[in-house]
Amino acid sequence: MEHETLLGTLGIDWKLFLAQLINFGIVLFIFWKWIVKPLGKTLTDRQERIEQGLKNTEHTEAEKKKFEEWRVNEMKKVRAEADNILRTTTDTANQIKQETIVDAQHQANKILDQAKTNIESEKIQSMKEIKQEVATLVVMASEKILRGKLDEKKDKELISESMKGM
Amino acid sequence: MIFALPPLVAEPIFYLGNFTVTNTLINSSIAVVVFFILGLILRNKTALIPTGIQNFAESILEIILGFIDRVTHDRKKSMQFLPIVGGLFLFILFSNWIGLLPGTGSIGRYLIHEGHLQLVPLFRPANTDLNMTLAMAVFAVIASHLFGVIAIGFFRYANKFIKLGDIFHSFRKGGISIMVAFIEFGVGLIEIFSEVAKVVSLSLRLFGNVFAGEVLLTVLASLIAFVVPLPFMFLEILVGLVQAVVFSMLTLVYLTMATTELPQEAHH
Repeated sequence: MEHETLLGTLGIDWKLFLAQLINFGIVLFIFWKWIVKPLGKTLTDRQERIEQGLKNTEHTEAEKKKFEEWRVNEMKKVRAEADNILRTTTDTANQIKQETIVDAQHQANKILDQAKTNIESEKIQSMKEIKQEVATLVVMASEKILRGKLDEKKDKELISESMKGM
Repeated sequence: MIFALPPLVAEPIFYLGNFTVTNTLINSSIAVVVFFILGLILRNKTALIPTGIQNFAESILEIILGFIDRVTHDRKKSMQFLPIVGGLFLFILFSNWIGLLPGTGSIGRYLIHEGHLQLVPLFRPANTDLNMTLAMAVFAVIASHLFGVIAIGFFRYANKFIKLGDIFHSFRKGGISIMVAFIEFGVGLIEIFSEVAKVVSLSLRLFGNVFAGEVLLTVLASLIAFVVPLPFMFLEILVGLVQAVVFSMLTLVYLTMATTELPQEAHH
């Protein structure tokens, strides 16, 4: 027994020392390998993930804001364009309408003129025919009367009479 | 009956061949088994959304990591030190606290011990054995040296103790710095002794505190068994925690000191 020495009095025994060291080593190994390593990794992973998530959220927020701005701008542009289109369309339509009206007026006037000339010429034509007819009639009538014994005086009278009536 | 005061040396309970199994070894083996079971449970618990025991374990790890961070100021270093510092802390804490459970010191075998028959407790707090605390202290100090060598290189680490490099540098400068270098060489040699002192102080502090607590509780229980020892029980719970913190914190400081490079030219 080594009880006489100081280390012996304090109970130091290399076998027990080694046994305790091994026990402690096992605990440390388990703690390191099975607890700290996986959990530490999980903790780091989670932290990274949360950071990533927050960053993503920020990014999305910014993107959303940008998009909103873009949308408002685009809406303004589109509205302006639409207004423009509407205005030009109205203008064009008005112009066409005006033109159509003017054209129609023109056409109508033309037709009216045509009709008037037609009527005029027809009137002259028929007048001519009528005159001819009347002349023929007069000649026939005068012949009839002359045949019905008429003096020269009467004849002349008749002729002038009938001529007057024309 | 009168309880016998626990002797300084852990009592042998049985023999495996010519290997003596003491009651403190039984207690530290219980700790091993408990940590083993805990490790098996936690091994595959790496869910991103923690529940139950994983949550608990994570919160404890985070607290310890926070403490380590305050000393190292470096998360990477903290993660390296966490297994050693956290393992020491949890093992010491667990050993101290199961030593307070009823049954420790009272369940035992009647054996012939030092000449006469007496009750030898089956369980005795692991840290009331100097073998245990010395094993941890030696481990902690050696680990700090290993970390130091890995962190700053063998020769530069050796220069902390045997400052031949500093003497060599001082000759190039000449003058008073040669004398300073020789004095610092002596200081470096003293540092070697302080490393031994670290082991002794770490192991004896823990052993002394826990052993004294055990003696105190035994004495009180043998005087008045009921109610009166309770405040001292609470005190021992506190002492168990404090000693675990002190041991692991000192180890952490040693680790941190060993892995930081001394400002070489700062004092020249």
